[in-house]
Amino acid sequence: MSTRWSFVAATLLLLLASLAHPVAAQDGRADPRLEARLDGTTRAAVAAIVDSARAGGLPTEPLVQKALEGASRQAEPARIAQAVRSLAERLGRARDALGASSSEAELVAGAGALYLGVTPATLRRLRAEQRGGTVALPLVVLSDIMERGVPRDTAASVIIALAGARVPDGAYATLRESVARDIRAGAPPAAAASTRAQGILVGREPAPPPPVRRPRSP
Amino acid sequence: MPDDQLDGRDDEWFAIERELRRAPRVDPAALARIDGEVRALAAARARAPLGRLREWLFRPYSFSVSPVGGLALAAAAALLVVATLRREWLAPRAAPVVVAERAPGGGAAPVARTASTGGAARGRDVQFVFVNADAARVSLVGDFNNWDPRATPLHQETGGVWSIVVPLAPGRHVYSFVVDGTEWVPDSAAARAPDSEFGGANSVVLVGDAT
Amino acid sequence: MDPTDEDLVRRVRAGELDSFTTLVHRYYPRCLRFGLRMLGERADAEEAVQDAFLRAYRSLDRYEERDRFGSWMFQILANQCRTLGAKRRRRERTFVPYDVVADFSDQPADGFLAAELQRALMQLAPDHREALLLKFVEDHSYEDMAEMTGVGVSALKMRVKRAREQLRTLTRGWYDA
Repeated sequence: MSTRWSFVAATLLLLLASLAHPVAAQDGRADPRLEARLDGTTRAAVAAIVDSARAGGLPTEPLVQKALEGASRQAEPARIAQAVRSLAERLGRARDALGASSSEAELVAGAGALYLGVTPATLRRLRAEQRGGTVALPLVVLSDIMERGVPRDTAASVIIALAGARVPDGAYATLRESVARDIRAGAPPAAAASTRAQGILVGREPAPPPPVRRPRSP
Repeated sequence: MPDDQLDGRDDEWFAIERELRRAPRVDPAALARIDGEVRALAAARARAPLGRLREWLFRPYSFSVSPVGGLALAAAAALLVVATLRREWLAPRAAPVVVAERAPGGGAAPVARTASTGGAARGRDVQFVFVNADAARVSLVGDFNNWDPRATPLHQETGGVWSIVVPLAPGRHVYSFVVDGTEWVPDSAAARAPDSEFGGANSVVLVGDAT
Repeated sequence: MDPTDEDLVRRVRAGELDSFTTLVHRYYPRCLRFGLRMLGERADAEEAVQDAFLRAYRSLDRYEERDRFGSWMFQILANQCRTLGAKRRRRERTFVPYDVVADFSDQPADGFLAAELQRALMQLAPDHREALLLKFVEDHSYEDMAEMTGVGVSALKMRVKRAREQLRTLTRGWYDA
């Protein structure tokens, strides 16, 4: 008799457990794209990360796309899950540094910069210097020149200087292209970045003094 | 409260003070130079016994040391310096990031060039160009087509120029080209995406609002 | 037991040059630190420090043992920095990647912030920067500073206070954890 009841209890528990399992849940959150491209374990891991990102108010599409890229590149499942986890963590740190009202493009660009070792303090400075403009383009250019070998601190210094001088968007593109060209021609990356930034900044009106900063909200 | 004290939290000030107090990197050659100059000064003084004459001799301040004498002094001073100083050298700069492979190809600038509004509500048409005369087929993969190599094939123009125009929503997009179904190649003229964790390199394009 | 500064000065006056070398080695790091922070450029800092030591050597007969060598040395150095700073050509450089990472011995937690802090420090008026550095980095007393600079103690306290306020404003939010 007790064996049968414990069997029933076990079945009930199993049913409850399966209902709670995210992969089996029919709440509409399971992304069909993940279903089609990832194996069960990876899909579960990625879905869990995506769910907690969503719960935390972070953008989820970049996470899904990161998993799909891994699938298309035929990466190891463990590596895919790790990449998605890493991106989710960096999106959170980017939002802490750049502010909750940042756009998705700014957050992903920030997450990319953090990957390269740019510090949250630099992201905060950039946000402050941009004074209401988007930080996505400066961050994309910052990441690009670092990828080409410009040391982190020089790259950050250059981008912050351009932001503080309120250069137009085209100036960032010009910087990126000319630094890339100079490096291809054999210039040391740090020198290329400093020189090109100097060229953009020289002759500009000196930037107005920074406005009185608002007290940091706790 | 002392006159120079400020109200408020001092945590940030401690961080500033700590940074300002860091020890400098000392160049032994600079120390050796000082030592050499002092000794030359002393030697010149010794040749001029009168105090007043000595003052006169050294206004304006200039003297010379023979090359051999200077080298000997510098070597002796350098030895002393090396023996007594801690070696505190350059803090290494951040190591350059590994550079992704480049491949032939033109392509999108970091900010989308074409300004015409796309079919989607606020998107823009962006042209992607890839140059490769030997490829049989080239496709575009990215975060706008689920990285599916079959979704967006490029059209081949003459001279090995491949191109496609794609409507993209505003924002940051990551992409790559796939050559002959197997070889993933980034856009050499575009910005590099930093966090390509799967061993390959991607490119970035930023699409602005159509408004 | 290490000789005191006063012992060394006595020996230098007696003709022992090695004792002056010892004094130089003893004070060079601190002097260089002050020069780097005050002038913001390594070449200028090294030049100011070198000139200061040579001046010190030449005026050693005027040094009185009741002065402390450290304060006396910094008085000379502060003068050199003031002169050099004023004489330096006005360079129209809106962007200077301060080599603060390379100029200091151990790696800062954030080299970018370190460079930015130096840039912020350079925005202070020279006499405010000098007072701040002498007080909070080189740990001189206000009485010593008054002797070094010829400025009264309460005026110095005001400069230090204003310098701190300005530096804190310029760097607000940088050092949040």
